[in-house]
Amino acid sequence: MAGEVRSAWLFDFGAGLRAIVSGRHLVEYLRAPQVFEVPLLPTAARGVLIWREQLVPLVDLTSLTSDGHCGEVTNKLIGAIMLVYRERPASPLQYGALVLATVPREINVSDDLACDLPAEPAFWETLAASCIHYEHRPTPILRVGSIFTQVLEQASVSSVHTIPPPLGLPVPFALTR
Amino acid sequence: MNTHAQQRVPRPVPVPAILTGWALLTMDGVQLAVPQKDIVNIGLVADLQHAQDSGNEIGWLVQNAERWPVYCLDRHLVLAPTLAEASRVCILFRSDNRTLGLAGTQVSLLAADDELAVQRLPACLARSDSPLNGLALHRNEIVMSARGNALVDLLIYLEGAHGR
Repeated sequence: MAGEVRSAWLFDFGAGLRAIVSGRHLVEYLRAPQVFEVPLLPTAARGVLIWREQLVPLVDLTSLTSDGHCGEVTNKLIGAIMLVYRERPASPLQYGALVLATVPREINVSDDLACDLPAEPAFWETLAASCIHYEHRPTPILRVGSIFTQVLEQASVSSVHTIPPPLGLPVPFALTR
Repeated sequence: MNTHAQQRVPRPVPVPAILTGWALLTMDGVQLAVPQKDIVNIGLVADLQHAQDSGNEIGWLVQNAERWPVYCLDRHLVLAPTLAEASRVCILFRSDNRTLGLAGTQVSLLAADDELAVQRLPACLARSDSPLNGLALHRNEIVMSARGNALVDLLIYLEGAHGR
């Protein structure tokens, strides 16, 4: 029997890295936002964005890959996606942003497409809730809270601490062009 | 202590006795917020005794029979080998029994804690070897907060890493 078809968003991080995020986590796509550097950051962190008078961390997942290079992405930044999540059910909304290589694309997904996570890169095990086969390749579905609630280092990203699953957040999605 | 230090004893600006509020130190374009209660002393760079040994300090703040090394950090929180031209002031911090100074362009004192809405540094931005523990927006600029003892620990680490 065919599974329920749902809407989701496909992120292309560059360097061949893609993932899917539920629409309930998406807030806004920012084209070439100004990134403010913060010294002594972990590998995956690129700095912070000032967004609606808030300071929001910016994470670049490609820097966690074996050929990721620290410090280069800020100059190459094409866009960032603003995401929302809660650390715990009663926690306030939190915001975080991911570096994207292209504008996110809306897609349809269903449970029929479920598959195993790819073995590489290993950090998907930490950051993905599940995985589906999409466009001829396994594509992880991100657990958004996991990205911003732990230190993501190239060497230590596979050491996981348990993060509660993301909650349904009825946040409107606005695509700013 | 050398003879130069004995001849000229600077008189650092006294820090108010209150234990609340923030001190904003600007250095190399970065604004660092430190609780005022963590500050041992504030001095003028012009009053520093010149560094005369092979250390990485840019000078020494001297008071009575004591003197403390003062360092300069750049925007990456890495030791700057020379004093930035714009540096005018320095703040002394203490950790255990070490007291070290940090030079900057200016120091602003915020009398009340709530003048700076510091948010805890998100986990994804935190690193165990970083002294930073929070971020804030102040007059549309980003401010990074740190405790004084964490800054001293960083300076001690950097001092050692540079082969002192």
